[in-house]
Amino acid sequence: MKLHDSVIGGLLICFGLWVVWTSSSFPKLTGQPIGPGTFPVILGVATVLGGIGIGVQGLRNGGPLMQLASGWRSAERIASAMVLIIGTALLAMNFETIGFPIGGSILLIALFATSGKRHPVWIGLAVGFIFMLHILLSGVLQVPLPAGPLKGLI
Amino acid sequence: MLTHIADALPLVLTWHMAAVILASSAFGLFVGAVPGLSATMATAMLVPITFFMDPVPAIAAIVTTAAMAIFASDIPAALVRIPGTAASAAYIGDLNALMRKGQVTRALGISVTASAIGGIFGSLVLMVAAPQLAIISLNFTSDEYFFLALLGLSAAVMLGTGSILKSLMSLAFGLMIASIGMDTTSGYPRYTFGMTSLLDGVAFVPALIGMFAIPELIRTFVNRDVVAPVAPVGNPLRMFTGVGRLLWRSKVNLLRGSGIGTIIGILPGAGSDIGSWISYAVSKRFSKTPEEYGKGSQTGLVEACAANNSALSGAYVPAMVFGIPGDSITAIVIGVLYVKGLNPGPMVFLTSGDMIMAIFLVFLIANLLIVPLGLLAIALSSQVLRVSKLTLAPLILGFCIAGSYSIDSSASGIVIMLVLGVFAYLMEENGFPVAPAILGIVMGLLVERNFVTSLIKADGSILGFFDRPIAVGLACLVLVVWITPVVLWWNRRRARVSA
Repeated sequence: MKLHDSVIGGLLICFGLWVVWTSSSFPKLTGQPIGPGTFPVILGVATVLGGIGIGVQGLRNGGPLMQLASGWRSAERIASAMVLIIGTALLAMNFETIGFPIGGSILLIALFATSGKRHPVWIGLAVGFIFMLHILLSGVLQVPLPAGPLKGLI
Repeated sequence: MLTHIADALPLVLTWHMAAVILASSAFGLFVGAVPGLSATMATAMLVPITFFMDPVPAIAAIVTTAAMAIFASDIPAALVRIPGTAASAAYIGDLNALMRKGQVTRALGISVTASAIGGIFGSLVLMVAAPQLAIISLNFTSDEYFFLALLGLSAAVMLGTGSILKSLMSLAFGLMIASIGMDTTSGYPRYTFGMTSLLDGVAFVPALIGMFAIPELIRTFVNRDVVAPVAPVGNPLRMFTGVGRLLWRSKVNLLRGSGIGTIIGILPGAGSDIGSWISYAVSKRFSKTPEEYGKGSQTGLVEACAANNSALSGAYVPAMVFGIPGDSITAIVIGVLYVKGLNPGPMVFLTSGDMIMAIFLVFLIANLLIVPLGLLAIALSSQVLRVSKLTLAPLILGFCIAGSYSIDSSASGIVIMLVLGVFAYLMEENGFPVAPAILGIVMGLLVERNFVTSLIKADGSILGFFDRPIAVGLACLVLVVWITPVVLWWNRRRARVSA
């Protein structure tokens, strides 16, 4: 998704102003003219100036406000990308409950399926890979990955 | 130095290290040989595993993976005309022209040998120069460190490709991410929105994994590039036939490529891709047959391949001595060093000189191993190149999720990975490079701490930054880096107007 530079410039200006406004309210160090807000204020001002520059360049260049790459026009490809983003977010929210072996396997199977790989071999690959990774990380490297309902079994 | 080498040898010459080096070599060669998977991504994926290793094997794994991946990226460049990393893009035309002439085996032979020699040259410079620079930098105060960090960040913005303004905004974004959490000077919480998980700041490793891996995965699912037909490699054992004679004839190119690569690598913010492009351009400029460049020039190939791997070693000089990354890979290494308690800077050469020398020795070993392992990788390349990125993408995601969680055993790591990853995808789609943001995240703390310390010392006066001669010299260098693009732009504009 490509936004027009004038839109990006506008967003950067808003973001920079918000940073300046928020950081200005941070307390100063005792007996000093500076504090925890000094550095972020400088960054905020730089962002506002950069936003103005990018916005002005965008206005000079013209063009559409938003452009989608050709891949984003295919329903199947959008489904893959959404499974990646939303699926990972859902897995993160329920990671301790569902566990890495089950949650990870479901996510990988869904990704393979939306990529057109629906043969049982891909299901086997997804489950086998996640279980192998879980055993390698939690068994060999002692990473406490949650096993979810499979706790005590693997 | 010899004492440190003697102390370092027992740390390197162990079966455990041999296993780590071989395993990470195989990983680096595989990732480098798959078109589109970068050396930086390979390194980022390795970080969660290194988290559970001792310091020397951890850094050895990263160093070996990166060296192998940078070399291996020449394999898809030669066989399917898709560079594995940006560093190979400079001479892809020559590799492909040699393939069309039926000399792909020779092209890969040149690549593997020049890469190894360049890497060894860079490693030797690293071993000699880094400890000397560390002694000098022991006298540095917050003023010098602030300007050094500023120089690194400025070079990253100015030397990168694309819009300088967008690179600058990317850097500002990275510095803002680094300022999330408790302020180190006052302990005041900034931008945490009441979330206790953000009090310690944004976890570096999930941020890194997300910003390098997630955009690549989204692009893989959305673009679905087809696997290109692979050219036959021929007998890999004939790869070195005539290469020795060519290298002897091109010894000036080999030396110049290694030298330029090392110097570019040492410059904070510039890595092997820039080293490779500049070295190739210099080679063409001084060649008696510049018309051959891009059409199968073997001397150009020698020079740029040597620059590739020497820059990789050179980038570790500012990383180890000042804690300022030379490129994205050393940015990752600095993060790992902090996690391991080996805080990069001049003091680490005094307190852990044996460990630092052991890491340098690994550089030498990794670059020596490029030849035999590279030969094996080339022999197996026709199989590796048939693996599509679409097949690997879900598996890489599984690796990223496990890695992001494992850093502090919290699902917040996965959320950080995802949010910053999607944001990095949108940044790249809109022409904002991600590398400056990564440098900003890594160096944010260093820049702000030294900036605030210097300001406190000078009672809030900015003039206090210029009290010491080295600081003034570094400030002048920063000014040169800032002014050069403006002067170049002005000259181009004048030339256009007068035309």
